Amino acid sequence: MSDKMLDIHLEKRIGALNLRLSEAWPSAGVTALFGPSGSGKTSVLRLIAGFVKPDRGRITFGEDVWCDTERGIFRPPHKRSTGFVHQGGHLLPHLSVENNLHFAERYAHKTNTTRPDNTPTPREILDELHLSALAHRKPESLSGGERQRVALAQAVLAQPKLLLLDEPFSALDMGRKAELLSYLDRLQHISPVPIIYVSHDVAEVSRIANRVAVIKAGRIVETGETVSVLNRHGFHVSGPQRSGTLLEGTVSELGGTTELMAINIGPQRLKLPFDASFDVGDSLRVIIQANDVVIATQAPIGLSVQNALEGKILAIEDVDGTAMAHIMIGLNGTAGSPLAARITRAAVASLSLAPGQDIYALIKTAVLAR
Amino acid sequence: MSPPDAAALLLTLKLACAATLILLVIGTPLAWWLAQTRRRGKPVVEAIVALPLVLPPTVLGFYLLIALNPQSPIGSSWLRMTGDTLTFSFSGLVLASVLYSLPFMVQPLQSAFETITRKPMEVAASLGASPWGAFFKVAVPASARGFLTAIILTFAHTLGEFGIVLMVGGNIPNRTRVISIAVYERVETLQYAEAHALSLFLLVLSFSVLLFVYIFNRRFPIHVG
Repeated sequence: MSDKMLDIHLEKRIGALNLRLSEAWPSAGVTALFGPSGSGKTSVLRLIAGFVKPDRGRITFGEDVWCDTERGIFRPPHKRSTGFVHQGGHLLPHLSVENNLHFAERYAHKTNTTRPDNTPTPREILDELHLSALAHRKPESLSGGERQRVALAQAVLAQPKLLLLDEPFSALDMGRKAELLSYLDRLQHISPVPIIYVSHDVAEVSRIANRVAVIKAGRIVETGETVSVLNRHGFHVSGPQRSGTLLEGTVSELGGTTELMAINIGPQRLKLPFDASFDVGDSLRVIIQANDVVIATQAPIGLSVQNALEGKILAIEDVDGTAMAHIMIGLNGTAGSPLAARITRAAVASLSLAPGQDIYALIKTAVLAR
Repeated sequence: MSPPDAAALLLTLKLACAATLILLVIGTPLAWWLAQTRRRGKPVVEAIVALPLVLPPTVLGFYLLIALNPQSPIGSSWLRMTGDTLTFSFSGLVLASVLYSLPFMVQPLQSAFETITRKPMEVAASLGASPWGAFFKVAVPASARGFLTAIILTFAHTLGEFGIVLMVGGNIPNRTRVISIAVYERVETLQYAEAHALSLFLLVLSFSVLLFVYIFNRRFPIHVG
C-alpha cells in the first residue's frame, strides 16, 4: 500500500462553527471521524471532497495539491478521485440502480486507463451487496438503507483513490449494518482504498476503524489507534464517567459443542457467543458496557457467568446524584485500557472495595452477543 | 385556407420555432442560475423575467418600438450590420417574441431545476463528471419533463401573440403578418368564413398542445399568468 498522506491544514467558518484542522492521516485503512452532531464532521469530509472551499489553508494528498489558498490552487471535486457517500445515500435521480452503477463505471474508465483486474463489475457488486433485485428500480422508490447501499456500491465502482463516507450506515438495521461492515472489511483486502468515515456510533467505529480522529466543536482533539482513543473519548455519553470499554483480543478458540468462541486479551480469556465470520488468530474488538460488569472479591463458584477477568481496582468515583459508583479496573497482565464498571455505592461499601484491591470482573457472555 | 392565410400560418410557425430555439439557449442558463443562486438580486431577476406575464403586450411593444427603431442605438447598429430594420421586420418579431415568451421558458425550467438538489450534482462530481458533464448528463435528463413543458408552452405562447407583434411588426404580408393578425384583419374586413377557418385552426392546435402538456407532464407546476 502507498504511504501517501492526506495533509489537511485549514480554517473554515460555517455558521457558528469555526473549523480549524491541522492533521496528517496516513492514507491507508479506515479512519473514523468521530464526534457529536454539529461538531463539523460532515464539513471536514466536504472540504476534503472539494464541495466546500476553505477560508484559508491547504489540503494535499500525496504529491497532489488539492487546495492551497495562498497559491490560489483549487482542484475541483471531479478531479480529486474521491468517492463520496452522502448521509442520505444520494444517487442520480433519473437513472435506475443499475444505470447509476454504470454511470460510475463509465467515468472510472475515462479517468483510469489501468483498470485493476479485481475491480468488480456492477453486476458483481449488486450480487455481493444483495441488491440485484433492485437493479431496475429508480432511486425514489428505494428505502433510505437501500439507497445507502447502492450509493456505496456506486462510489466503489468509480475506483476512487480515497473513499469518503458520511454516516453511511445510519439508515440500516443491525443485520444490514453488519453485512455492509463486513463488506468494507473485505474491500480493504481486495482493493485497499483508504476510507475516511464519519460516525457517532461507538459500536460501528469499533468494528471497522483502524484509526479514530475525535472532533469536538470544529477541532480535532485526538487522533490515534481505535481502541485507546475510543476508550478515552468514545464512551462519555452521559457524563465524565465511561459507560463502557472497548477490548481487543485474538480469537483463540472457535465453536465446538458450546457454540461459544474465546478471545485472548493478554493472558486473560473472554468467551463470546460464536460468530462465523471469525477465524482463529483474527483480531476482534468487543464493547463491554460498564453496567454489564459485576465485581467479585473472590473467584466465583456456582455462577452461570462464564467470564471472570482478574484485575485490580485503579479508581473508584461516585456518580454524583445517583446511587452508583464508577470503578476502573486494570486487567492483570494486559497493557490495554482499564475496564469500566458501574455498580451501586452500597455494593462498594458492603464489599469495602478500595483502590489497589484485587478483584474479579464478571461479565455475562450473553451480553456480548454481537 | 387561402394562400395569404397559409403564408401567415407558415410565418407564425417560423417565428415560434426561432423564438423557442433562442429561448432554449438563453433561458436554460438563466433558469439554472435562478434555481441555484442565493444572491440578493435573485427576486429582481425573477420579477423582470415574469414581467411579460402581467404587462399589456402593447406596453412592451411600445417600449420595443422605441428601443428598436432605426434612430435608436440598437436599431441603428442593427441596420448598419444587416441592412434591414428591426422594426417591421421578421428579426424584430423574433426579438420581441423572445422577450415576450421569456417567462414561459424560464419558469418551468427553474421549477424543474429546483427539484434537483445539490446532492446529485455532487454525486456526479465525485464520480468524476465535470460541471458541464454533470449538467448535461444529470441535470438536463433529470429535468426532461421540465424541458418538454417549457418548450411546448413557449412555442404555443409565441403562436398566439398579437399586441406586441402589431406594435413592433405591423401587418406586412409575408414579413410580419402572423396568424393572429391575419384573423384580426379578416374580422375587420367582415370576412368571417376565413376568420373562422384560421381561428378554429389555432384553437384546435393550442388545445392539443396544452392537452399534451397536461397529460404527459403533471410533475412540474406551470405558472401561466
